[in-house]
Amino acid sequence: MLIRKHIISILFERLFFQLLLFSGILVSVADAQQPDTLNFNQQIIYHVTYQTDSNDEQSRNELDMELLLNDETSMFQSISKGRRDSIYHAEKRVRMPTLLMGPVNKFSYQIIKNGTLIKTYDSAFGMNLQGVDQIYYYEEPMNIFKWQIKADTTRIAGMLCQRADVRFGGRDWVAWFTAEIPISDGPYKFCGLPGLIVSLADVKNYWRFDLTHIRKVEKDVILNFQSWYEYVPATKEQLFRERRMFQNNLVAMQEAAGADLSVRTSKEHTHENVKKNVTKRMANDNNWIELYP
Amino acid sequence: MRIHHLTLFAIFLFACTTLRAQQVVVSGRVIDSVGNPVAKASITYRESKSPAILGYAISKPDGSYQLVIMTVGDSIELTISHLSYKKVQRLLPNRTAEYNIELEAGNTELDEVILSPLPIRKRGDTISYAVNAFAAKGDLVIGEIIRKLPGIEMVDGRIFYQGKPIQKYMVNNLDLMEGRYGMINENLRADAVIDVQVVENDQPIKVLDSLVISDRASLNLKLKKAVTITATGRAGVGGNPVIWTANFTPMVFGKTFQSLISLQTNNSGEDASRNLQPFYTGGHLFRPSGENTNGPSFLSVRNVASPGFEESKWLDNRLFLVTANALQKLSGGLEVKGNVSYYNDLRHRRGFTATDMFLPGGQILLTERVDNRYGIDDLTGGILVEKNEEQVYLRNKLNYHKRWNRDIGTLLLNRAEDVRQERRHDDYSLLNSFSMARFIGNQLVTIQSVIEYGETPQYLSVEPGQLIAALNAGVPYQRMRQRIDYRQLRTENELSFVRRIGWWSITPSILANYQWNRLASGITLTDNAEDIHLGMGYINDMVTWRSEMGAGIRFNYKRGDWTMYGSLPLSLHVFNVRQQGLRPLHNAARGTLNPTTSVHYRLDVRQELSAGMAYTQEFEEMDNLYNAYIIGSYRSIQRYSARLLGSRGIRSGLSYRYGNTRKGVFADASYSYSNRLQDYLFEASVDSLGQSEVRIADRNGRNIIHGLSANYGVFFPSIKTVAKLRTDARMGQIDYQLNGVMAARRHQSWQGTLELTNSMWDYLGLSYRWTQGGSITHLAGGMSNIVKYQHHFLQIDSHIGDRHSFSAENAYYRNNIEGVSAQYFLDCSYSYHVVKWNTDVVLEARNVLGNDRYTQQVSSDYQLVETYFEMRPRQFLISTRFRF
Repeated sequence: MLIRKHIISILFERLFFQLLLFSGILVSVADAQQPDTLNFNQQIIYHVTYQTDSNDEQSRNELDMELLLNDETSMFQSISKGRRDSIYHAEKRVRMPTLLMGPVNKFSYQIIKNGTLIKTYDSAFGMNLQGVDQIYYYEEPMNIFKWQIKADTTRIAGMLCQRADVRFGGRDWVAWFTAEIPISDGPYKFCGLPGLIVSLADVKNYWRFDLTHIRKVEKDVILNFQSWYEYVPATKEQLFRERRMFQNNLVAMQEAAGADLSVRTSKEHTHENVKKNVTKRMANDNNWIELYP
Repeated sequence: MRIHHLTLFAIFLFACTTLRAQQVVVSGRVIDSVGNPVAKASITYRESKSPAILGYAISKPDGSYQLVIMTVGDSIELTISHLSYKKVQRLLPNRTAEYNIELEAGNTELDEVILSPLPIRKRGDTISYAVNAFAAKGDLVIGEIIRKLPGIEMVDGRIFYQGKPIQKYMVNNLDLMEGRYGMINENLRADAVIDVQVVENDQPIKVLDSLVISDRASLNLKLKKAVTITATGRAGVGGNPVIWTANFTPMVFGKTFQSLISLQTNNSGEDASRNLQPFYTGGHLFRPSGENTNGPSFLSVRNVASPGFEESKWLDNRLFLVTANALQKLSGGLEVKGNVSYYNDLRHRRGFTATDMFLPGGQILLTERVDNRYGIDDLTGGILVEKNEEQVYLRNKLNYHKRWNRDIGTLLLNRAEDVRQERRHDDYSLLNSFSMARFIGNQLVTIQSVIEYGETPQYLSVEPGQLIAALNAGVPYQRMRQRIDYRQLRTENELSFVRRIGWWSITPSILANYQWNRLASGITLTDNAEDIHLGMGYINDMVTWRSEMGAGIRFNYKRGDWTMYGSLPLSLHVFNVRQQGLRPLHNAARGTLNPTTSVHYRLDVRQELSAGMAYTQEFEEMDNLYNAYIIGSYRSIQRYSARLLGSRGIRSGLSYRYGNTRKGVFADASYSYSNRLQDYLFEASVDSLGQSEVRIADRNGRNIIHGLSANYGVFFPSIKTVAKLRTDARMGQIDYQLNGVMAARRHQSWQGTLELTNSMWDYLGLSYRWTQGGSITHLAGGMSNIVKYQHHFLQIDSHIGDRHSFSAENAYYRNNIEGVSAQYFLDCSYSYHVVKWNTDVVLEARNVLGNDRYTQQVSSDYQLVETYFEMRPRQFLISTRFRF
């Protein structure tokens, strides 16, 4: 009930912003955090393959993500997001509001590991019609990973790797780390092993991270410069729950917010078909990296 | 009871003390040289000399750490590492203690690492094989990689994916060579390619994309660079006798322009002209008929069967070849392609044949020593315009092909008589093939039209004259000559309407085909410088024409995991023959119905089952309707009665396909059955000299074949090894008539091949192939023959440093022929890499053991043929291979 209320409030907020936009008034989003620059000197690239629908291997997809490191801090994000951000920053561009009739992009997060904390910034619903992108952020302690080191070893690209198992996010994961690179880090939130994670996959192989490159870089990443970001402190459970709710009610909400789905671009593109397709796509998007009931 | 309790208590106490004794805790602080705490250092322990870490801790911000040791050994090896400090390793006694560890500053530089991507990836219908994962150090051209890939087979240069030939071969999504992909396969350097991609169920014609479902696969090479300009080449000489080889093949692969030129010459046994052979014609909407047809060959020089193994061991050739191909993509999506190729090849074949004929009246043994020279000239050129867009498809191809052969055969018959044969065979053909498809409303209208004209004049002369019983009343004479003039004109046209209705796609069509042929032939005997003209029984002047009007419907259905295809073409054929002024066939009308259907079911993403069935009703080409004699070879003569030859039958099959890209496992298995009833039989009558006459007998003959085949391929990434297993078995029965007696020939054959390729080590590459097979033929009168064979092939490549490579090719062939021992061939080569010029200098020794002949057995309809074939001699070749 509470969630429903929250979503309805988002809805009204959107209508309100839309009105403001229509009247030509520019609004700067409140609660903006101060821009912050992080300097990284090491880039580790992981090739990610994943399956959005656990019942359909055709839904497999892939992308490259990067783990950026300096002595204190690491950041994990998708390479394309990093690239896009740096262009937006350099050219002082502003993102245009876009209506996306599909699942929320699950790769717009940034994970920053520092000290004993893992801090996640994640766009909860994507950018809305009003050009606001709500960024939920939450923290988790690094010791949530209860690794079990196994005796199995293998060589990957000449590096001696050892197996370690962990349960996380509702999945059983198998990691292969190498003590030859004493960086206690890895893809996504994974960390805390006595060496870098070279390969990581859940036992059903729905999600898979494979290290492809280690490079020296000189890279400045500017955080929080985006004027269209609205930061919302949250918990992980809240993020996942509300995002699921949002996806399930996307059609109704977008229509309520004034989107017209009945524009026929082709014969098949009927209101009913669009609704059916979107609903089906949402239902098939059942295999997020972390699973919560 | 009491004692029992006491014992348990004692055990419990003992267990507790041991457990306590095992609880060893090592703790302390990690500090730097000035005493500051070091955080995030990893402290691991292992049993000494063991690679596996048993436990670890990460130092806290104050540098402290605590490790609980869970091993029972006497000592442990403690390792403390941090990216900014030098690694410390200590051997410590396995007991609780406190150790403060000082780390010495030293930036452990992290090496740049590049790991290859997953060797086989699947995204949608596209499977990508990473070239890196399959490449061995000695692999130069992309064909060497493609040959190894699991799921892919290469047979005589043709690429099969899961048992079916590929329908398209592209580079960066453009098809430059239109089926003659051997040129790219054998010359494009492997290191220019990043991925070999196979697109399953690919519909290359965009207008058909959502309308007509395809079950064929296309192959695409994804290059590392968007624009690739590269060339490979080779030049070498050697002896003895003098041999040479040269090849220069520059290529350009850009986004809108692609081109390949190749100049090649050799007499070292490489048949480079094979790479000009088109493996598909492409582009045709529904039927692949857009290629120049070769005119029929009526005449032949007596030949020896070539060995069924690597050509370079036996082919005695002298080849010159030039080809130029270009593709330009224009604005508006129009692609223009042009190609011209010419080659000249002189071949020499020597061998000996012993033919054992099983005739109802007994056996005949015939021996022939053959020494033949073949001269082949071949020219082809064409221009093609294609527009392949979402809304419209247009393609026109104009092609010219000319081939002229001059063969001279000398033969020693039954160790007594010298026979000289001379054959000329010319063939010209001009073809235009046009296809168009465009949407009119929701309906796709397609038009296809092919027109071709060809001439095939032929000539055979045999000296001294043979077939004396049939031709000269048993009197020996000097020479016989056979002349043939053959011409043909054909046109095939189809109009169809493709429409999507729900899950169905329905294509009604109408067609109109016409074919005209003229066959003129004559035999002249010469004796004492005088020509003897034989009567009308030896002169053919035949014109045949057939027209076909047809209507049909094709459909396909796809829903979920089910796909179905079907077609129902109904045709009316009208046949006409005019022979020597008579009309043996005058507007003879026949109807045919050839329904086909197939069903495919996807069990899951990895597995597919298919079943298909077809009923066929066909009439033979009318080339064989001549009723005056034609001499086919020095010891065979034939004539047929002018009547239509027809057959009908069913074909059916079942197949299963499995592909697991993640594990790199591909498998397929299929069973096929065909049962054909023809209303004629070729009847051979063989006289005591082994000279045969072939006629058509008016009786039904049946031909039944069962076939089973299975392929399995697996890639083991950890040891970079591909294993492939292929098996084939066939069983059949065919009716034949020999010297008036009708009988059935029952035939069984089987073959299995195991292939292992290892590219794990930089310094050593291994490839091994083992083939085992055999056949049994049962003939009339309880006669039968059994042929068994096995082949082993082992290639070892070793690389020492970056410059030196040594390779040895071992081939071992064995069969069950009495008195023939197993044959073992060895070829060796050494190559030196000149880094500065990116060039290899190669010294080769071929046929090191000097094997001079190869013996084999072939069994055909009613005879067992045992041949030996003369091999290339032991030869040395020094050559240079370069690429840029």
